[in-house]
Amino acid sequence: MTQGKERDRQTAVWGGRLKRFGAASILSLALSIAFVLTQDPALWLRGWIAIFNVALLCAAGWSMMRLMEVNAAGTKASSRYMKRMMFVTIVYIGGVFLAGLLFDCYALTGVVAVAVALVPAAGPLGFIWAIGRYLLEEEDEYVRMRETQKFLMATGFMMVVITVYGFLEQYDLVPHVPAYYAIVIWCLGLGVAALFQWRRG
Amino acid sequence: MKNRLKVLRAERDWSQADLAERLKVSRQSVNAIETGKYDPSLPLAFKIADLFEMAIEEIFQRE
Repeated sequence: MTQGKERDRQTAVWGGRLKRFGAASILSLALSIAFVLTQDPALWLRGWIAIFNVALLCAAGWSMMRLMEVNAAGTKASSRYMKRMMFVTIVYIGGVFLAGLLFDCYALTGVVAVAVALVPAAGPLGFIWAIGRYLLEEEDEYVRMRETQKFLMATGFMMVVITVYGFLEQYDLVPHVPAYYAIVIWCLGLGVAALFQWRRG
Repeated sequence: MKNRLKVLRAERDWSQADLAERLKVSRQSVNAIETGKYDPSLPLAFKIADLFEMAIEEIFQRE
């Protein structure tokens, strides 16, 4: 089998896995959030739901990484970035689960309560660190420029959304949203920026 | 900025991936430079010129 044919085969295999795991991750996350919000399940069940979602997200992330490697689409730095993001996602979901467990089981107060409340923050902070490392490590100037543009667009998107929402909230026109949602909005902005870049070519 | 990268690459029968490997950049970078979507930095322009054993201005020209 020629190299080209083998690459096409690998592309089809990992592309198919990415589609399946990606679709399953989105569906599972949506169903899990709806289930947790409406049914308020026991903590052990929440834990298993979290583990299941992390496993699906990791499978989707791994498929994307392999797809990029097969097509030489990614750089070494982007591959490291994706591995770090997968690790950070696991830390984040683990942190949310652990903090919930500790607050449910113990009457935490004072410094200990503050420390435990900050455990889930390790994920998003790790995420910001991973982005910073990626920009420093990326040696391909064109890819670095594209990613920097994307990060700047996402930052602008986040600032617009939180400013508008903040004033609406100020006058009780919308419900309160925790401040840590800023990073969620930033990630949404990243998606919008990726779409914008894809449209522009 | 215009460039002759595609022609020079074709003369040597190199694919975009071949050129990218020689320049130690991604294939997207080569494609973006060739199609005029991205103007390379001076260090990368020198690297390209060195690879083709030409002067920068023989590869890159003003529009």
